[in-house]
Amino acid sequence: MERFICEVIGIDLGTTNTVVSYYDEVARDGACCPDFEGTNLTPSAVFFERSQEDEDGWSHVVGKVAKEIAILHPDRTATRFKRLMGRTTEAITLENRTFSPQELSAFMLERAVENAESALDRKIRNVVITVPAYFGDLQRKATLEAGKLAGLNVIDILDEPIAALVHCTTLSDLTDKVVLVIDLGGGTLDLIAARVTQDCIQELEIDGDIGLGGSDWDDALTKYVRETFLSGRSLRVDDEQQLCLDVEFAKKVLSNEKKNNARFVVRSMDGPVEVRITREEFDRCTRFLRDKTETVIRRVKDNLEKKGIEKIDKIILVGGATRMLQIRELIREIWPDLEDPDIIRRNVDEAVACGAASYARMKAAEIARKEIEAGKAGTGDPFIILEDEERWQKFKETIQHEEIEKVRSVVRPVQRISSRSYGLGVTVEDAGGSTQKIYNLIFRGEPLPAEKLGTRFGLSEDNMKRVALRVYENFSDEHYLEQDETLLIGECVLPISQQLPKGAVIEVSFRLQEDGTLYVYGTEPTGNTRIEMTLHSRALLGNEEVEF
Amino acid sequence: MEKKDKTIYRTEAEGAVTVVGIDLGTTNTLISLYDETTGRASCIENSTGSCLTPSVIRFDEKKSENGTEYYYVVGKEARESADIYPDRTAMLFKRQMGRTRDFKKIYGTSYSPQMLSAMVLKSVLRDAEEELGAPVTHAVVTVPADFDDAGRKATLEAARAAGLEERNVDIIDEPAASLFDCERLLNLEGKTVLVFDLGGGTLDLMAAEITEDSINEAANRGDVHLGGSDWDYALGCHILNTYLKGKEFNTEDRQKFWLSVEQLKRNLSSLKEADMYVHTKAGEEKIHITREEFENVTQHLLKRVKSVLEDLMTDLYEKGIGSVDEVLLVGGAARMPQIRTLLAEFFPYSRMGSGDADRAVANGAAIYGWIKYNGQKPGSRNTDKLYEVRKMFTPRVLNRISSRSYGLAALIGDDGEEKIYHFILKGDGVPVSVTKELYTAYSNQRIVNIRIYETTLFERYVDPDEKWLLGTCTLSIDKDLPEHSPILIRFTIREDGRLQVEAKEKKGGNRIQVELESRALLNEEAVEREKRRLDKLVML
Ligand SMILES: Nc1ncnc2c1ncn2[C@@H]1O[C@H](COP(=O)(O)OP(=O)(O)OP(=O)(O)O)[C@@H](O)[C@H]1O
Ligand SMILES: Nc1ncnc2c1ncn2[C@@H]1O[C@H](COP(=O)(O)OP(=O)(O)OP(=O)(O)O)[C@@H](O)[C@H]1O
Ligand SMILES: [Mg+2]
Ligand SMILES: [Mg+2]
Repeated sequence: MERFICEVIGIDLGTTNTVVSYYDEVARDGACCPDFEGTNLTPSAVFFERSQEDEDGWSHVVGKVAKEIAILHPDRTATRFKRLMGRTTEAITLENRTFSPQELSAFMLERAVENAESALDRKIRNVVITVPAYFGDLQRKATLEAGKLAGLNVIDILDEPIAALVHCTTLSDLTDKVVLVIDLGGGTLDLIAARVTQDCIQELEIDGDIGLGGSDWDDALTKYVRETFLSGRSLRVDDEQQLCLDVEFAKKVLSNEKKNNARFVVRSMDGPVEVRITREEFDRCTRFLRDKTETVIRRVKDNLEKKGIEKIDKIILVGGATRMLQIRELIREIWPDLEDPDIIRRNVDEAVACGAASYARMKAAEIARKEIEAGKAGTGDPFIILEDEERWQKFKETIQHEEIEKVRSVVRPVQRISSRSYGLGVTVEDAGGSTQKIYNLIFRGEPLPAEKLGTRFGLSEDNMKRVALRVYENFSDEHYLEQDETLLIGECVLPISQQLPKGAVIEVSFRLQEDGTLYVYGTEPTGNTRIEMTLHSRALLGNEEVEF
Repeated sequence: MEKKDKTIYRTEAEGAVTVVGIDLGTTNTLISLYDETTGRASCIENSTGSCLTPSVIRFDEKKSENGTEYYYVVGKEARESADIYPDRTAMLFKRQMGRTRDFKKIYGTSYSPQMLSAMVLKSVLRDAEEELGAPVTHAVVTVPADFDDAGRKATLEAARAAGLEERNVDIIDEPAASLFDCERLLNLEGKTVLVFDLGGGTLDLMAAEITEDSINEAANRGDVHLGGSDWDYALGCHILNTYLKGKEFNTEDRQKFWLSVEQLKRNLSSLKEADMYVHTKAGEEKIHITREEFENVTQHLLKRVKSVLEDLMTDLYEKGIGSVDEVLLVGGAARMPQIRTLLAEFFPYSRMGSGDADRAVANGAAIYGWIKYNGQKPGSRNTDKLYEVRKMFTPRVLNRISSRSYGLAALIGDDGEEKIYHFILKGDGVPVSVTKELYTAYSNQRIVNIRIYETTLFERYVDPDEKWLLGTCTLSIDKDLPEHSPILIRFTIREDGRLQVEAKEKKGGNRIQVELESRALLNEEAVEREKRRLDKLVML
């Protein structure tokens, strides 16, 4: 008996890792294909190397090697480009050539397909690719485009949390359950609450944070290590590279209950420094990230309660960063009554890809069935997905003898609008005059294009020479929120030409376009100087729900 | 690091045992479990989140009021500190398995390769038991196909010292194991496959014919002293001699140097040129190496690979096999493009494939172990799925061949010239048992000295050379026999490649089972002693 027959594979094109799976007919679930470097995860990183053979003078190397030399060659390595999908055409510019996020993603897809071809010993062309649930139309289109660039036939695009859910349905029966999927990956937090019924997955809530993922924990820990252990010391570039890898590794070590500290040695120009981080220190310096995660999760819980859904039956945790103890504890804290078996944490790294593979199998069966019916009706084959006719026939024969496993359709109780905004705000001084808060001009979930004109802010001092406008992107629908530099997307300075008293008013306007371009205008009271700035919002909210 | 989320390794069969597959490598060790519900074997992650546990041990001592306590650390941490603490770190001991009893003296105690291997085994067994939440009782440990009798026996000794019972341990050749994990086997029926395994310390080649229900080994060749670490060494020496002449290192920088060399070598498998940063007492230096340069300075190693390949092809021709349909690449060092190029040149008409280069051997061993210990158990047939799984593997028996020739010294011909008379020739199928009649040299001979040899030669009679001597024994005869009385001698090679020799006077009388007195092996008692010693040491 062959393990792979449906000819469609699933690919999880992640911010930090790409994973490829096929549906294993024997095991009846998804199985990963290992990368050339021997792990199931291929780091989503692309390095460019000069090459005579290639037309434009560049050849690319993806995966582990690229990740490990990223810091040594920052100008020639692209990482985290998934965050740019659909919102810019320039992800990295080499001397003579610019690559779009689509092109870079296509390189990852090519590698994934190569891995599958080598594991399955067969040519592969048909794929299902997953995207975050919050991806809007533009980003989904960009993902499709990446597939085309890689020469693939993209059978479908599937939401990552849904894929994880599909994977879990192959492992246990989730029918008539309310399930919450929490996907905390390298770059994003993605949540879906859904009711699973016999024939559909009914979405109840979608939420998330595009700026929150495992790599933010790395950044916070790196910052802490620098401040605590390395102040006043300088590092060489290769040691910087090593520091990044060591910090991530230390974070992973601390996910093990049995380890309460992690050690490594940083080489600085002034000699080696032994770094020892306790779990307590790690938790402390990343507390704000945990809190951010908590805010989003609680928001989902509250929104569900508002809809009368008090009880969540199962929680599915996926994404590498859900391995962190603090996240597991957080879940326990929010749902103290949930039994252990109701928190499903299996194959957190591979669940999305495996789910995509299972979905691909169901989808292929559906297509095949349609073909068979159409054939009976004499209308010919409308959906050939295969070049190898013989194998496709074999697949059709197989499915004729099996119980029909229907593809659960995904039902969104909400209108799908192309995209919606994230919260966008600026910093202003709050009443107390000391702490800076972000003041949101555009709220999360507003339809696009969105505009907020002439918001007035008072100057905090007499005779100010200039005012700095700092623009933050967030996931909030509140007016004020705590300042957080990780949310900063841009900054500009409004010079003030005249001497003005404290309290004089400046005006700030925002206009956010459908493609994520944000125009910022600032005017001082005399109207003599004005500034204009164009920014790109890192994310647009897709599929945001709106009650009918 | 957190353990991979629990998968339930369900065994449905009554009385089924927990069996693991262990790839005890020169540089990395892996442990794998077969999951009946999925029909797949998967490797277990160690506490650093990787399936690969470097086969490196560091010993630490801690002095306290109650005396000195000794600890040992296995894996990544030990490997990374190897050059800081060279005196108390042991690595690459697999190369000495069955060749010596004293690998290294640490803190005044001598350690055998068996003992060190046992420590690595204990470490991965602990990972498996943590994952399973149950003790592991059965194991299949892999050895290079080219391992000799002593190497195989030493491996079993290591498993026993690690706490496994001898009758619950089996060994299988690494290339054969990797075939068991190979999905593509399905497409290979009726074909000849060459498994090319280049690991950290060993080159191991095996050609086999695959049929619907068997894997028939046709030839194997190898070099137990050729592996990725030799490429590291050649590249490191080249860098030292060319770019760092006269530069001095402090210990820590030296350690980093060799780790960086290995990293550089890996990077050059993907990149056409790469940088390496070296810190010497004179300061920092960035060294730029191209793949071409790397390939130039390692040419001599590639030549050695080539010559082993040539030998293997000769063996195959002699068996009437002229070509190989598919080459399967296994082992970390087979990732080097120079290897792929060489193979493509060598086998222009063969397909090139690579499965899971790192995990295939361990996974295959787990599958083989499951078939062996659980496959025939009643009850494991109770679902269709299991039946399907069994259909995939069970009927395929492994028909091995011997990797060495075995014989004894005898006086041959009328002029009584002493020769090694091979009972079993390299390439003969195993298990095999050959019995021959020899005769006493003079009347009333009371003692027959039997000298057993192991060679790599194919001829029936060869000139004796003490380097091949495996062991000696004596058969004592308690009655007077005339000259030329028949003595029966039987050589048996068991399925796992181990040799057993028995001798008996034809007409009744004593029968002895030869205990091979090899310098490198431990006797029963010594193994027990090692086991007890090991139990006393604390593994961190
Ligand atoms: N044991 C661990 N403990 C803590 N963090 C971990 C662990 N293992 C992996 N991670 C983190 O998980 C992140 C990668 O997760 P994952 O592979 O799920 O992301 P992704 O799918 O690439 O990203 P996204 O889903 O956001 O696009 C990395 O930041 C990594 O450091
Ligand atoms: N990408 C790569 N390019 C080149 N060499 C590599 C690569 N990845 C791993 N290696 C090398 O492969 C070797 C380890 O291979 P492997 O883990 O298969 O060996 P092993 O099983 O421990 O040894 P053996 O089979 O010889 O007993 C190391 O020398 C390592 O440097
Ligand atoms: Mg993900
Ligand atoms: Mg090996």
